[in-house]
Amino acid sequence: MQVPATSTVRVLGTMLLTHEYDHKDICVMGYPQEIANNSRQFTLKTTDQKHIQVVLSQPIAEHLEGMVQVRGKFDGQRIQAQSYNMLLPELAADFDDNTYNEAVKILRSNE
Amino acid sequence: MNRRNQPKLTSGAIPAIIGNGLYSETPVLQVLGYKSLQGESNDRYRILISDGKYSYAYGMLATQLNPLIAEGKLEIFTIIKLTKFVVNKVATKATAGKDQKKIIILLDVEPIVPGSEVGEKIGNPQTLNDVGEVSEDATVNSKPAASMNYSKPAPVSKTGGYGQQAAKSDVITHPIVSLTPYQNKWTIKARVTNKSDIRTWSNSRGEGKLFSLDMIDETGEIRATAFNAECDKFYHMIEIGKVYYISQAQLKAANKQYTSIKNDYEMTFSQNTTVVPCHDDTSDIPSVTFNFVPINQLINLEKDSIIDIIGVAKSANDLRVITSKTTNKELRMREVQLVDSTNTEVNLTLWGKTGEEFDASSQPVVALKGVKLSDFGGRSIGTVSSTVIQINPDMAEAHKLRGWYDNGGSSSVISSISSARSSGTGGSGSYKTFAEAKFENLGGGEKPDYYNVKAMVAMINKERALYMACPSEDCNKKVIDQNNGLYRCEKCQREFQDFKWRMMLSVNIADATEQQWVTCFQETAETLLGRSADEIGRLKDTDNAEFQKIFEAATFKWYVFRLRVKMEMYNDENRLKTNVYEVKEVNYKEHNERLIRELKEMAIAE
Repeated sequence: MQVPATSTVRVLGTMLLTHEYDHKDICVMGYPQEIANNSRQFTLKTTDQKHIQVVLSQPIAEHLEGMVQVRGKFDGQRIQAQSYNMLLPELAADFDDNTYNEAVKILRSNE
Repeated sequence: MNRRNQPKLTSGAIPAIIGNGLYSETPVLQVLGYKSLQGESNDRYRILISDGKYSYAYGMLATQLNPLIAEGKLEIFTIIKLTKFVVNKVATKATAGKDQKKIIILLDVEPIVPGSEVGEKIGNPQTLNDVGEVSEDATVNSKPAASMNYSKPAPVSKTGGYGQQAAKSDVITHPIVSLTPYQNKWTIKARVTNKSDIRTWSNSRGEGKLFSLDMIDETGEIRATAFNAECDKFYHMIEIGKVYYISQAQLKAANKQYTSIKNDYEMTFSQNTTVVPCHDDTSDIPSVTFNFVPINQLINLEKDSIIDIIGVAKSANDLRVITSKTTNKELRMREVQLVDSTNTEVNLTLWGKTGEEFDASSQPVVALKGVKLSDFGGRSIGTVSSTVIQINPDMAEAHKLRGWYDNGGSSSVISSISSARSSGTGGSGSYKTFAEAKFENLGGGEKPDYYNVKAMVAMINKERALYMACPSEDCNKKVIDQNNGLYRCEKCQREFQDFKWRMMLSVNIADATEQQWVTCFQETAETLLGRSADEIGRLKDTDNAEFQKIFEAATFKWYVFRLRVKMEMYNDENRLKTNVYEVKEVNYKEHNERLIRELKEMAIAE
């Protein structure tokens, strides 16, 4: 999907659930769980262990595995995704959730 | 009481006392009168004493004995035993240029026979002048009544101007703030707050020795220096913390570069200078005042500032002897790690004797007045000749620090603003930004420094990237093209039919703070370009397009560079040479972890 570049805020699942970032352009990383039957929705288990629904405007054409980075808007219940990137398992294997979570918290700490 | 039963006066005692100040026996004297000198709080009494043969007008009653006057126990003609006394030499306006006046301070007296019983002056004592010689007979007050006392007519104020009366003694002292080179008949009463070591010098104009001292009174402070003969004369006698009467020194414009003392003038002791310990009340002369800067504020101050600081010496390095590059002299120094309750640590360098004698094993509180702030290693402080150091001083800040340190301060997370330089290639070395490396003057010391930096390749110099090198196994020297198919190596002293391509890349790398030109040799160059020197050498002449592409592809990539920096001299100019010791791909996980750690240390993150 081609999306014009906008400034997105990188957040964690917990941050979305506080509703502080509702209707804002956000970016979340996590592990794709089940994909819905219509291929337009899937559950993302974020790096800080929260399960969040992701809805896409078009059905997913590939098999989601490894890690996914989703960009879109959180409406309070689901992420309306504008785009996503997949990180193949070989690369994702090295990913350290904890330091990533820490880094994101630091980035958001002065806002 | 019959006259014959009265104790005899110790005839000749007074000249003996004034003469050499020693008198092992307790003289019996007679009071011939007294005068009160008005002071601020306390009266001071001047006693006219006689030993039967000689009388002296300069006996001062120690203030703790004032009640004796009030009780009428020292009325005129009283015979007293002088059980404790001391002789002081004082320079005054009147004695300027002559020998000093001697004052007998009566520290303890015992009235034996009341004046009313004696009723008259014993003998016909001759008056001694202020140096103990017989002078013309001064008229002495011989009225029998005991109530004869009159105060000196001079005004009482102590501040400002010339010739003001000193409240506590017969000496007229001048405020330090009033001293100028244009008037040299003065005496000051000041406390020595600092005394330097004796320093010797030797230059084309000669040699000599000197020491300096700082003094303070209620009105201000001033620095004084004693050279050669005066240096010897006064060095051992002057003690820090004691109060002295000083007069007859030269005043000249101050050289503010060497001291933080606030005075437009400074003193030089001359042949005529007198320094007399003051035993009078010195409570109005202040002691050293400090203006401490918290360690975490040092980063905000400019380098070369002179400041006061207090902290706990949590550790110290061993004493080091280094040779000064500029003077070739051997200097002794010790580095001490100082922390305070802002949880910040700074390196303190103690030079000379202070460093030699310093012992940090008890982790003492150290207070310093007048240390120099430098930007070495970030921020560090060092003593200068005018620094005053107090170990475990009895002051509120020191007690607070002791309490903080002993109750957890010692184990709290401390951030150091004097980062240690990574020595040698051992260990992975520390990460710096180019700005930090510049700030810390890495490479400026005697040994090369190593540091890591995450930087991006901004530009590679293509033109001089390659050179023709000797094909011998262990020789990499550049060969000379003889232009006849042969290549000569001067090192091997041989000619070869071929050569090998070697690279020496001049690369400009940049991080978020600054950019730096660095040199990459064969191995690191091949890593950056992703090709061997041989290949690149061949492509240069055969496929220029490909050659260019290789260099383009190599730019704008991030790496972690391990750099070796050293300042080198080229034709009288100092240049910082930076070589790439190693180049590695960025491990973003490690990078992330390091950034988080550094942020935490900077206490921005929680």
